[in-house]
Amino acid sequence: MNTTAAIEVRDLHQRYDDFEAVRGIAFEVARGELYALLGTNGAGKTTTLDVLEGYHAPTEGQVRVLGHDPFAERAEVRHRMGIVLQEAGFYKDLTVAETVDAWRRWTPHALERGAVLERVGLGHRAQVRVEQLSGGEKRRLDLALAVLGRPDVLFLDEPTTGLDPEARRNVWELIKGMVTEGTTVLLTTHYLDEAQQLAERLAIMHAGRIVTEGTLARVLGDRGTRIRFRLPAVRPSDLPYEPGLGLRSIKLDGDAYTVETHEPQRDLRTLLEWADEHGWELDGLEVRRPSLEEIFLEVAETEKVAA
Amino acid sequence: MNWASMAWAQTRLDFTVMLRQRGLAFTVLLLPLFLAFVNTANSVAGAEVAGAVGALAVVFPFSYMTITSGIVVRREERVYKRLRGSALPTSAIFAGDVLHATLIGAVQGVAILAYVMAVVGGPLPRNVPLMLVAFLLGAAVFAALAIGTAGLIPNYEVAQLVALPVLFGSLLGAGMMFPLSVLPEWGQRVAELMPLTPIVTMIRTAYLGRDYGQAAAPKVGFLEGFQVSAAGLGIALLWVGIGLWSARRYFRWDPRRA
Repeated sequence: MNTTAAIEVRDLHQRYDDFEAVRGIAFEVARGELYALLGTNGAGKTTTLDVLEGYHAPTEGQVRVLGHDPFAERAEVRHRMGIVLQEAGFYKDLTVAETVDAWRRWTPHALERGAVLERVGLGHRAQVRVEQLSGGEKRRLDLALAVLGRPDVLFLDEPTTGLDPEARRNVWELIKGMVTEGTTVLLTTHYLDEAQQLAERLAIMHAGRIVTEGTLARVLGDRGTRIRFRLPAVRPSDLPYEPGLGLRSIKLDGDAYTVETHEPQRDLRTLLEWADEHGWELDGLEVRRPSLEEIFLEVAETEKVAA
Repeated sequence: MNWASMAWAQTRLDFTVMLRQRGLAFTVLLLPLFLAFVNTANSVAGAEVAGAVGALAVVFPFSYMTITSGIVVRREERVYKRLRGSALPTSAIFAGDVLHATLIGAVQGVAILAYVMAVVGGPLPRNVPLMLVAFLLGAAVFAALAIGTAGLIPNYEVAQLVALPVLFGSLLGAGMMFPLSVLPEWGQRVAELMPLTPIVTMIRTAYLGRDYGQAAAPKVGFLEGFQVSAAGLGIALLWVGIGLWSARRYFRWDPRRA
């Protein structure tokens, strides 16, 4: 295995009883890189993180974090990892300050309490009991505890789920700051825009497998904007489109059309003028970027065809 | 940062958290003292001292309760998952939780002993080293059983329910509710095998210098005290073994409702 990579995953399978949550995946994250695992619920992202964080030994295959087996050699890596779990409890009767102080007692090279709370924007909430924090504030405390020991590798399992837009942007800034300082980050998310904001490379997981992997540009590839509408009584060949520059595909499902294009403005104008000429009403007209869900399904479909 | 300081940090945290929950703190800290007081007050005339000394053993089932309910709450609220993702070694998490309960038991033990000597008129303990052995053994038995059974307990409410039969079973088996001699022969044999019984007998022997393993309770010397406690030591170690086996089999870090 490549020893310069911060995270290495090879042929990882993970089974619980008779359910195989992860079905043979491989990827590497270079030191100082931010890598995103995208996928819907049940895709196997959290299971993958659980193994990398050393909670479980892999059922099959091999994982390395900073060159060590995170389960068997946990002592070598536990103080070099920071973990934000998707869901973890606090001692809810303690204050924010008491919580950080408790963690500082067993974290080597820990940041000062004030510094770490300032960093996540919780400085003014130090004396508040954890129970009274909002969801977003608890998420920031999760982050504070994760970055407390200046980790070399940071695992973030859906760090911004449930946060309002401003809080999300703050978390993104914090993560970017960590990467600038050389921290390796492995992040899972439901949100395409989050991956777009942060990740250099990403993988899309679906049903326990990585269905596509690479830079964001490569993964999104040439997927265009979708124009959808319903129009009974016309054939696809009646539409005012010539195969050519920018137009990717036209699909018909019943009387519902989906036009996929890289020139949405041009093709929408053409469509509207054409409909006006004929005096037709375009029912349920919408124009939008593909959702992550659609990409997952398409990617999964393509994989099935390829296999 | 060494292992001991990490385990101690965990112990400190357990104390802070316990003191924040007033109801729990009251139960854990004061109820054993109250039970010990009742137990000595109810003893038949002439048996106050023996009763009082047996009351020292009350602290162990309470340690059991402290440890199991702590483990179950932290597991179900996913605090354990967070702790295990920190720089803490797993062994330091266990050690911290056990040390927390054991320190409480030790302080209570000393308080009960002081009460016995000052109020009930008990003598100075005859065999302090044997007493320490008995205390450590009792703490080990009930810590091992706590860790061994926590995995079978689904939530905090059940943990509270389980603690009661453990407490009363231990007190009954140790002859602290009524003398075991009123039981039929087989009942006495069973009681002797209960986890708390050998500990109570050993503490009495250590304190009063008599072999309470026998009905007549003959006087024993310093070394003899250890000798007559050997069978009890064996039974206690067996319970430690059962607890550890069960912990290997059933202990879990992740919530049961996952």
